Amino acid sequence: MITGPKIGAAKEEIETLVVNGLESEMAVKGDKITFPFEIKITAKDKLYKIVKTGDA
Amino acid sequence: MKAEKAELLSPAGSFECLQAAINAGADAVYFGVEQLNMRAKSVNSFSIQDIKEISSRCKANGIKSYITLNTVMYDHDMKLLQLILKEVKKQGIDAVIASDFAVINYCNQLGIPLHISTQANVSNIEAVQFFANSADLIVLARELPLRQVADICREIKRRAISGVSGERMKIEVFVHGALCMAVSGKCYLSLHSQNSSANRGACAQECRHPYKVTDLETNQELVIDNEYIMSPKDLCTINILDQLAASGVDVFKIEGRSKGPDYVYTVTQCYREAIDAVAENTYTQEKVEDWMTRLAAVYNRGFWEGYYLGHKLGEWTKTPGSIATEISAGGAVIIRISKLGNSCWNQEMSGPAIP
Repeated sequence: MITGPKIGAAKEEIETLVVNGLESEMAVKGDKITFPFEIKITAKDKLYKIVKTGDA
Repeated sequence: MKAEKAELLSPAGSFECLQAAINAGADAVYFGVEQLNMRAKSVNSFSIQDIKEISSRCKANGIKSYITLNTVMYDHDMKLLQLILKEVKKQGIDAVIASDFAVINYCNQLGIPLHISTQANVSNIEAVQFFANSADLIVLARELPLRQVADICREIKRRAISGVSGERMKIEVFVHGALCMAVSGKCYLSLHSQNSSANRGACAQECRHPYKVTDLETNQELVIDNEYIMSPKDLCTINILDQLAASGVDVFKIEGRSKGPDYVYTVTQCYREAIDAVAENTYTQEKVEDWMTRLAAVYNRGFWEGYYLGHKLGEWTKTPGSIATEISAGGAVIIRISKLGNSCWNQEMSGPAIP
């Protein structure tokens, strides 16, 4: 989920993930990640990972 | 009888929530500035300077904006109140939501449309008639059963009660969100225990705590298991929204100015779909179940229909805080946007692992 003053809240499912320049299925703390997102985002926005309560 | 389509009014405690409400299909939003509103303690309120941006963003999206100035007011608040109202008038905010007579009086003098807050605890048609001299809409007390809500709406039409604008007096009710353990505008628990007045927007949420019961004869203490005896579950009416619509209510209000944009977006979107479904005669049990599942995913303390169906006592929560089926983890701030365009996101992970 992305939240921000211009976009409100938007949720998308990550289809592809690039971790430290390489395609990967997993990213952990400290990694630099890149992934496509449908809507325009800005540096004021925040990224959240949505998890089911039982999985938290 | 086909009901008129009610206005959907969503909370905006931040620009994120304002945009979420707009995107999800709200017809109007309500917000507070500075400390003269009922969420003065729980959110970083907008400032007077933000009123311009809020108004212009709402007008650009074709929705209305209402400002809450519904705390108890003291003499030392008058200067700030006047400053706010001057900006409200200048920026064309659609109405002020208030209960204090000073605010009512100033709004009337300045020609600012006025809605009477639920803090005024309006519970009968004579009170509606009284406020018709100064306002155009009443937010009814949240403890009224639907039958009495419908009676008030019907009686407004029968008596042809008009507000100050000359149009029929309108009625607003809460349809979703947190409820108080006390009657609207009558809770002094936080004030007495923490010197933090709920009616000045500084509720310390004492009712949400677990409590022991003490036998005064023996001093024996009992912990009441599995129930927070003063903490009501949240209101949810999406499963009876057809009945609320048929009652003649004009505005459906969602509580939650201290909640996040995810809550505002999801709840607004569900009620948008439900209001439209009722109006288009496509409101089904299958849809209700889908909406309930989606509503349960965002902040909630468990649901009940409030007092609309005739409950004499509240339903209480069994756990502290939210029981949402989904939570948002992380909250990472974007470090750098990719130069490749709008579709990529490049950031350093600081939260939980993905996926």
